[in-house]
Amino acid sequence: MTILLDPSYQQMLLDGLWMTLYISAVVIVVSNLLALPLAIYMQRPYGVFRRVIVGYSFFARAAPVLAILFALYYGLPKLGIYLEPVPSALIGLIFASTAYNMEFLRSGFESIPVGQSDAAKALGMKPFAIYWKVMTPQAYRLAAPALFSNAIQMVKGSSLASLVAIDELTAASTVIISETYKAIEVLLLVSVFYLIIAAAIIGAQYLYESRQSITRR
Amino acid sequence: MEIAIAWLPRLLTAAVLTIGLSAVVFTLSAVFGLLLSFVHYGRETSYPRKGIEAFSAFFRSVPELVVLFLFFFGGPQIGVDFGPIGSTIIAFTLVGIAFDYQVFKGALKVIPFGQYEAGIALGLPRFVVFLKVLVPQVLPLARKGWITYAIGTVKRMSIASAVSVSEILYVTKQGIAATNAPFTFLTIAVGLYILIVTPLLVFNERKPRQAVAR
Repeated sequence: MTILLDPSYQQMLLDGLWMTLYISAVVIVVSNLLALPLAIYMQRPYGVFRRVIVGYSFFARAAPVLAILFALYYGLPKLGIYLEPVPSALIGLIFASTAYNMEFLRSGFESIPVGQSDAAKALGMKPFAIYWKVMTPQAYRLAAPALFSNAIQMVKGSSLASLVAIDELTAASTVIISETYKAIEVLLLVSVFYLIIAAAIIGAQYLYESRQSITRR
Repeated sequence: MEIAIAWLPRLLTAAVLTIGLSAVVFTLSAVFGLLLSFVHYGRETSYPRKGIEAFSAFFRSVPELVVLFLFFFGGPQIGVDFGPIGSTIIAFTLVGIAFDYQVFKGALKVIPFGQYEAGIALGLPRFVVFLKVLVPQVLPLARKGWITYAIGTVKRMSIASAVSVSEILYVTKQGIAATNAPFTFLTIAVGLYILIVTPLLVFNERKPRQAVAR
């Protein structure tokens, strides 16, 4: 454990932790923001982009996240697009997780009884109001457990960014291991960081679900 | 295109390795996950169960890559060399058990506890009650979540490329480095993953023939 008292290693781990938190936060927020309009669009019976979205969702969920990250990391320069490692990894992780979030929200919307939107229409509500006031809050309530556990998956997924040249928590640990050969100590410490992040997300889920529960109101 | 054809045998060998590793991990996680879900059945707040829950929470929260490194780099530190394949099987099986345990536990909750009590009251040995009464009901109930996780397992095998297990993505990476044709190789790689996963997806979408035991 004395190895970890070295301030330069402490700094490395701290920087890695910030990068992990940054990547996770951006991916969780952006993929959720993108998933909602896609899920709402998929509620239309017809639409030009339906097939595009279905195809995207299948591809993004069938391909391993690491393959998507490699495609951006090795592929984009081939097309003459030079991105910094961080934006490139963010795009890959967002691409992968938006598809899952969209599917969770979509099945949330589909689980709402049709009578609800019919009733809202009969009351003279506009389509926007129906979605904003009636459908979306319920879809989120139904999809919440899946969305929160997917958020933990995104935090775990951010560790894959270490394989495409990003100095996040896992990458910091491998650097320290290669210098000190203290793999178990370093990796257990890193695991504790990931556990704390996951616990925070689970805590947020309890908070959300207790606020949203119908019986409480 | 010729490059890709030249690399195809290597990629197919890699695909076989991915399938083999996934099958081993899938089987071990299912067996142990199922066994753990039966520990102290009906007494979910007991200490062994809390221990299992803690184990499950740890391996579901820590990235697979970190768990993999823990065995790959950590093994030699305590004098055990698991090697790339060994570390991969151990790491992914532990994570798999953690997830499958949750899936089977959820399915087991759906079955009324009275069925177990009735079996015991009839004088059946405990393992017969588990094997003949509970397991046949748990498996169909758990199928959806269980198979969805198994599909993920095939894709997660790509992470093993980080410890130089020559599965699909590792060979793909070598191919990209050798030929500088990233899109050709990644298209083939993703195609292979889709081919492996599709039978599972189809199986999972099928309507269950029998959700409740006869």
